[in-house]
Amino acid sequence: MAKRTEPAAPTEIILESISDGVFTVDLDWRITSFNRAAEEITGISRDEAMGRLCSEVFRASLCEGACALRRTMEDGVPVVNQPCFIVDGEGRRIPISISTALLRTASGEVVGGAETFRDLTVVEELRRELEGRFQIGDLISRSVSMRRLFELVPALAESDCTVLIEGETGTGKELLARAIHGAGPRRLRPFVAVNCAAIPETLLEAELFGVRAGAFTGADRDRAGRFGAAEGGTMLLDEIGELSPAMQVKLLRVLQERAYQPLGGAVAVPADVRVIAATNQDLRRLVRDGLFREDLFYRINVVRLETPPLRRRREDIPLLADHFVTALNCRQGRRVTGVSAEAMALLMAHDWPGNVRELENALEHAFVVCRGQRIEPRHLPEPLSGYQARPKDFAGKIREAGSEAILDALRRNHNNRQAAARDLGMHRATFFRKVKELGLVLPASDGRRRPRATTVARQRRQ
Amino acid sequence: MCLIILKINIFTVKPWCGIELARCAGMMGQECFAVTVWGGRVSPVLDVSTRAILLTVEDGHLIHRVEVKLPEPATAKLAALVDHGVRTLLCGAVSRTLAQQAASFGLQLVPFLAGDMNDVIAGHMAGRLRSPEFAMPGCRGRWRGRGRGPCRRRGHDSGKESNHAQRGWKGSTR
Repeated sequence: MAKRTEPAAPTEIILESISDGVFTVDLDWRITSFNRAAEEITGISRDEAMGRLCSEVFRASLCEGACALRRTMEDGVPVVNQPCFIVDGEGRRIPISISTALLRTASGEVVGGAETFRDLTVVEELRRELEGRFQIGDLISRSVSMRRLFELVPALAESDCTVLIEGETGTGKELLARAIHGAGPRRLRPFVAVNCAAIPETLLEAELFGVRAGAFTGADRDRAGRFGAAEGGTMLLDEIGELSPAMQVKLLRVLQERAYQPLGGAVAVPADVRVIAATNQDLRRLVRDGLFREDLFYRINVVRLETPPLRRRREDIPLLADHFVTALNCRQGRRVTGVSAEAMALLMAHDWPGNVRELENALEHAFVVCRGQRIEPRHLPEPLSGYQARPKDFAGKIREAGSEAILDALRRNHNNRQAAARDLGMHRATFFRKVKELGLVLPASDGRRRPRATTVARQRRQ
Repeated sequence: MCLIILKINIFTVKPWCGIELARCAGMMGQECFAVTVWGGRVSPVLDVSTRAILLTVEDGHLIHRVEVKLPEPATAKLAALVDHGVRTLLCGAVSRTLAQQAASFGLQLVPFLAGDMNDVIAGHMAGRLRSPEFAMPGCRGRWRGRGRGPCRRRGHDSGKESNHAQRGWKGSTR
C-alpha cells in the first residue's frame, strides 16, 4: 500500500508561501523553525539552521547589543519594523526590518519567541532613486560636482591607470578609491589602504615591501608587505605628500618597473597592483618647493580627481544626515526619526572643516545625548549647538544651494538655458520655474550662439 | 584543554579604553592573535563586536590572555587590535568592506567561526579550525560540496590561516 503523506498544517503552508522570513526560537535561543523565505534571505538552509543559536544563523547587527527578540522576551512588548542589517555568507550587508512576538502555551507560559524579517534591499534602492541621489559604493550625493565624479568611476574602474585623488580631510577620498576598485575587474581581489603619514619612516619600507628572513635582528621569517597583500588588487597610498625623498625614489621605481624588492631580499618581486594615490595637500606646490619629486608627480597624476569639501555641496547635508541617522539606528537598535528643522539649520550653517567625517561624528555625538526620537540643537556638539540659527536660515541655505547649482550649470553651458536644464537633470519648464522661485536674474546672452574666443577667455578669467 | 595563563611582564604596557593592556611585542617565536567574543562564544558579527580576547602564544603555550572592550566604529576596532600587536583575528561573520579594511591593516582574518570561545582558541592553537564543528551555519560547503561565497574556508595550518579577503569574494553583487 502506498504511504500516505500527512497534509501540511495551514500555518505551515502560510509560512512557506510568504516572502518575509520567519523563524522561532526556544528559551535557549536555538532555532526551532525556519521558513523558506528565511532560507532565501539569509542564504542558510533550514537543515543547517535548526537547533543552532539564532545569533549565529541570523548574524544581525542587533544581535549582540540590542536584540529585538530579547527585549520582547524580557518586557513582553513586541517590536515592530526595527531596521538593522544582517551579514550573509558572502559578506553582503542586507538591510532588513524586524518584528517580534512571544510564543506562549495555552496557559500563557512563554516558551520561546518568533521573529519576522523583511529584506529591504529593493526598498532602499527605490528610495535612493526617488530622492534623486546618486550613490556609488559608500559615496552618496545629489550634488552636481559629485555626480561628475561618479560618472568617471566606471571608466576609471575598467582601466588600470594610476589615479590621484585630491581633497580635504574627510571628503571621501578613500571611499572614492574603494568605489573605483569595487567597480572594476579587480573588485574580487584585495583593496589595501596605506596611510603614508601614519607609519614611521624607518618602518615604511618594510611595511610596504615586506621583509625577508634575516634582514635584521629579530626577522626570523619572511613577512609579506602591503604590496604583497594587495597582489592582484588595488593599493591606496593615502597622504602621499608625506613620503620622504628616499621613499619617493623607491616608490617611483616600483611604479616604473612594476616590481618591488622586500627588505633584505636580493630578487625583485613582480607587482600586479593598481595604485591610487590620495592627498590633502597641493602636490604641485610641493613639487615647486622641491618637497615632492616632479617625475613621481607625473607618474601618479595620470588622472586627477578632486573630492569637493562639504561646504561646497551643502545640498548633500540633509541627505548625509539622513544616511547617518539610518546607519546609527541600525547599529544601535534605536528609532531616531531624524533631525529637527532647527538642528538641520545648524548643520547647514556650519562650515565643516572636517567635512563628512565631522558631520558623522556630530551625529554620533547627538545619538549619545539624545534620548528621544528627534535630534534637537541641544544634542549637537559644540560649536554647532552654539549657533544662533533661526528656522528661516534653513530655507535660506537650501535656496542658496539651489541658486549656486543653477548658476554653476549656466556657466558650464555658456548661459544656454536648455543645456543647463539638461545638465541639472530637469525639464526646461522646471528650470525656469526654479529660476523664478529663487528670484535669479539670468545673464542677457542666452548662449545659443557659439561664444567667441574673447568671451570664453573673459569667462575663464572670472 | 586546560589553558595555562602566565602573567609575564615582558611587554610594554599601553592604556587603552581605560584598561591597562599588555601589548604583544611580537618577539621571536611569539604569535599574537585575538578572538571577538560575546556571551562566552565567538561574537556573531565582527562589524558590531564589542569585546575581544587578546592572546599571546609562544612555542605552543599560551603565555598571556586578556579581555578588552573594542572601540567604535568598526575600522577603529581593527586599528586598535593591530596597534596592540594582533596579527590574526578569529571572528564570526564579517562584511566584505570590513574584511577588505582588515587586509589593508595587514590583519589576517579567520572569519565565519562559531562556538565556545575557549574551544575556538584551543582549535586555533591545534590547527583544527578547518573542522566543521567551528563553522557558522551555511559555511560548511567545503565538506558538503556545496560551498559558495567567502565563508568557505580553504584550510588552516596553525599560524597560516588564509586571509579571507585575500582570497576574494565570489558571487554576483547585490
